[in-house]
Amino acid sequence: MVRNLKLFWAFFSNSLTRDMEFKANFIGMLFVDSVYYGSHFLFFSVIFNYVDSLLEFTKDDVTLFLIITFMMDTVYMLLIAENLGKLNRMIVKGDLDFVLMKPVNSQFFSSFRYVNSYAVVSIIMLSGLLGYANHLMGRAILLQNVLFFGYSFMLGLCIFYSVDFIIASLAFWFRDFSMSGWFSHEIMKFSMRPDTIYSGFLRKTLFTIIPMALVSSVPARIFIYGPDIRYLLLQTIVTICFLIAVRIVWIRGLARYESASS
Amino acid sequence: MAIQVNQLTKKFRIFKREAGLQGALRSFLHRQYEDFYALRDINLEIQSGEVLGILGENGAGKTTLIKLLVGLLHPTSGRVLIDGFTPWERKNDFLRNISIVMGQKNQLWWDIPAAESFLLNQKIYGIEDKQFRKTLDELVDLLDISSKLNTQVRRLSLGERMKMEIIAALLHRPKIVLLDEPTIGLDVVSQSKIRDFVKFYNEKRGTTILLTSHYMTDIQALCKRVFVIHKGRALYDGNFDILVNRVNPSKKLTFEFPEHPSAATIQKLENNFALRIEDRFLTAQLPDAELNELLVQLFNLHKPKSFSLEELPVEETMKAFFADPEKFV
Repeated sequence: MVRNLKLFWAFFSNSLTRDMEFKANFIGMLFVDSVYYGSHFLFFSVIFNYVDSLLEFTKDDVTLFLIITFMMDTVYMLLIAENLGKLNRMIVKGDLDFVLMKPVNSQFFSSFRYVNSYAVVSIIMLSGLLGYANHLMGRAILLQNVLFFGYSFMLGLCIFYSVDFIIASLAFWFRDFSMSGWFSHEIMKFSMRPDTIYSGFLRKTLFTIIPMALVSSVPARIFIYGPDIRYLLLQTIVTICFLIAVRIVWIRGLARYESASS
Repeated sequence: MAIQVNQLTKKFRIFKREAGLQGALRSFLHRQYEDFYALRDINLEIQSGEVLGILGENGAGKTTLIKLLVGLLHPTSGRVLIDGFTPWERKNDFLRNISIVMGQKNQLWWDIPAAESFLLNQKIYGIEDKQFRKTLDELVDLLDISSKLNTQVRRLSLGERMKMEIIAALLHRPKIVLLDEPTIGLDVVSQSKIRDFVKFYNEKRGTTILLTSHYMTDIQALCKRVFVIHKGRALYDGNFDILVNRVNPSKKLTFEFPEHPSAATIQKLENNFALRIEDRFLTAQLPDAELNELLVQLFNLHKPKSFSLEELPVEETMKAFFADPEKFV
């Protein structure tokens, strides 16, 4: 664990060095993120022009939900997105060779090698925004809620990672699975809406088999309404199941890895 | 013993389809696969500190063998033991002692200087600062590349990039290094520098080196022993010079007469040997025994103004070998 943390710090420093080489990209990504977040705020603002709430989620709740969703997205961009975005091509082109040759857990290496350091700035801004929005809404910040929120946020991130990782790893079986990025993106969209808008079979699916409702909605619920043991328990069980699935998929995938001819 | 390979076989399942739209449609509806044996029943033993050349035409199975040895691929059957480790289990202790350089793939990050990637490798392999600095300085000096350490990899020439790749692969002082076409695409000067370095490094550190190269001069300069693979099967395992001699036992003689030889002399020589005489120069390409006989006759006839005996270019010899390898072994 300590070694992996040290390694992660080395990956981060190395990635920061790379990102600093391209100043325009660094600033440009902050701008793109702002536009992306703004469009989501606008979308829900339009909806709240016609309705007062989305079941128990009021306009204020949805605002907090969106900030938490963006935080999740940004933390994901910071730590994982670039790695899994490349994984499919690495498997197909045989570029996984150098990952597998290193004396480091190959799943850890493939998942965290590239860090999008620009996202640190976005995370700081979004954390400030969450605190400020909460303050404007006159809500008290309870330590207990913050702790449970942190735990739930971490589980949400693990689920987000697991689903994306499993989809990217399908390239081991399907060789050229270039639509994996698009496929992931479409699934991830379910996590960008409050769970209250889903009902029936779709809702059950999003809390279990494709657990996108557990990514942002549950952490947001805990931040807004306080800890709910049912949600936390479900999120914990689903996370464990998915992390085990990821491990199995990776090990079986590696056994099928064909590298590529020179 | 550093490496022991027993009955190693690797089979790939290849998706087969006919050409054209109709073939594409047919294969979309009904996929057909066929088995392709990249390697079959390979047995090989390599001693610590040995330099082994792995030869074969394109698609013979050289790279597959290398990838099985470093654990990138799982075999279909067979066993490989490298210093007691099974490569595809990829134990960290095994990975710390092995390294690979692939002439056609980069491990260095394109957009940042190689020095940054070396620092990252230091952390990955857990190399102590002092040892890291010492090894890096030594490798940089030997490869004469210190001025380029802080240049972005994308701005380096192919030769400079290959030197950096080699440094990245050797920083952790592996006991076994696999070089898969490390001189591919390099100019002759760079090829020669890399060859000299590999030779020196093997002698100094006693590192076991496995080399594949399509440049026979690389093999000739570095490997006493070669392992030839043909269509996935082992075809020859032994001394390279013996193989070369078996393929082409001839040497080239150039003999300069002090004055133009008489027509009778020319006639006599041409009747007994396959040779060519132009002006005062006689050239012949003959096996050792015939060549000795010719030389005796020539020296009896004339004192030469000059003469030379040359080995035939190894590239040409091996080209003849690969045209029909089974004929020679």
